[in-house]
Amino acid sequence: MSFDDLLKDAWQGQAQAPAQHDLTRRVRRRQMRLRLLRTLEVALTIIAVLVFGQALLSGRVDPAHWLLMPFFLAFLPMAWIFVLRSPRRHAADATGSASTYARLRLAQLRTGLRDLWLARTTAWVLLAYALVVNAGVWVLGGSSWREAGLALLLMAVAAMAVTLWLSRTLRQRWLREYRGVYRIIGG
Amino acid sequence: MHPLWPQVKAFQPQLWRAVCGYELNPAVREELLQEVLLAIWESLPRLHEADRLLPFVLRIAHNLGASHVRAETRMATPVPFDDALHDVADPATAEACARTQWLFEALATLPLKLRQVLMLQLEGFDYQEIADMLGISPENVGVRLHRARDRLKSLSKEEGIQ
Repeated sequence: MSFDDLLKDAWQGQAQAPAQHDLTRRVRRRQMRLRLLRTLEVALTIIAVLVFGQALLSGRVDPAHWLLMPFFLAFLPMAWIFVLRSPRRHAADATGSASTYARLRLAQLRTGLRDLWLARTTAWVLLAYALVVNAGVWVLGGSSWREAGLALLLMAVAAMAVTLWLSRTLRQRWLREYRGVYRIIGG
Repeated sequence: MHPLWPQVKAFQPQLWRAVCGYELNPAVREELLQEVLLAIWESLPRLHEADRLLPFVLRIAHNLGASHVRAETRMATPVPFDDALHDVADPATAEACARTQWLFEALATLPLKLRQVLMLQLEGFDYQEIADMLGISPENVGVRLHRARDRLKSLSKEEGIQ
């Protein structure tokens, strides 16, 4: 048997796909999961906007609202920039030729890595804001302002921790993919 | 459901082979296959020539496979095989299985550029079709194929695969 025939035989030998009897149902389930995730993101944003919007409209703006509002004004747009521009693999992109797809993917990954940097920077700025505000309220404010300041600081620390964890995980994965895809067109 | 979806199901062996060429971990292979099938499901309305379905679905599989990042999942610890407890396949089948396993492990060692052309050729596409799918010239396909075969040949000699 020639080497080519050996390769072909070995290649054809790998025909045993896992049982996918309920293929259509599984694809639909996966589609549904992605939609649910997006719905959750939208719902969380609407809740945050409603809470602060209501406080503004009702005129009952307490210290917590004043301190947290700037935080959410920076945090929500940043979170959405991150979610919307995240370099997910879109089905339509993958229908092009390999070199076209690779170039597109590299551009998406570059954008994703830039947004990660932006997210980290925003988290640091928010933490700095929380620290400055806390210093101010502990010197000048009453107990209600101090409580609000502490809540803000806790949120800033939580946001920072989540951002750093997410950034670390995604950055490693995207960089690995970037290097891999780059080799297809780069050299 | 798209009218071509039942035909996509018929191409599952080809899609599975493409996925196996990019991932060795069985669990992650299945996950990647799901991702490929979802992408095909969503892209089918973009296909205008029904007779080009196989190149279309394989192009999606290879694109997603190439940008798939090998997951660092923990592999299960292999349990020693006990001949006394299990049915053993006849030697010819066992040898064929070993060759298939060797091929996919050897493919994983090839750079993506070489691996893609070789996988498409083994699937039965000609130079021009491979060139169209990858967005390169047919001459380039020839060069890459030659290099890929050379590498596999030397690997097979080193490991005594015949």
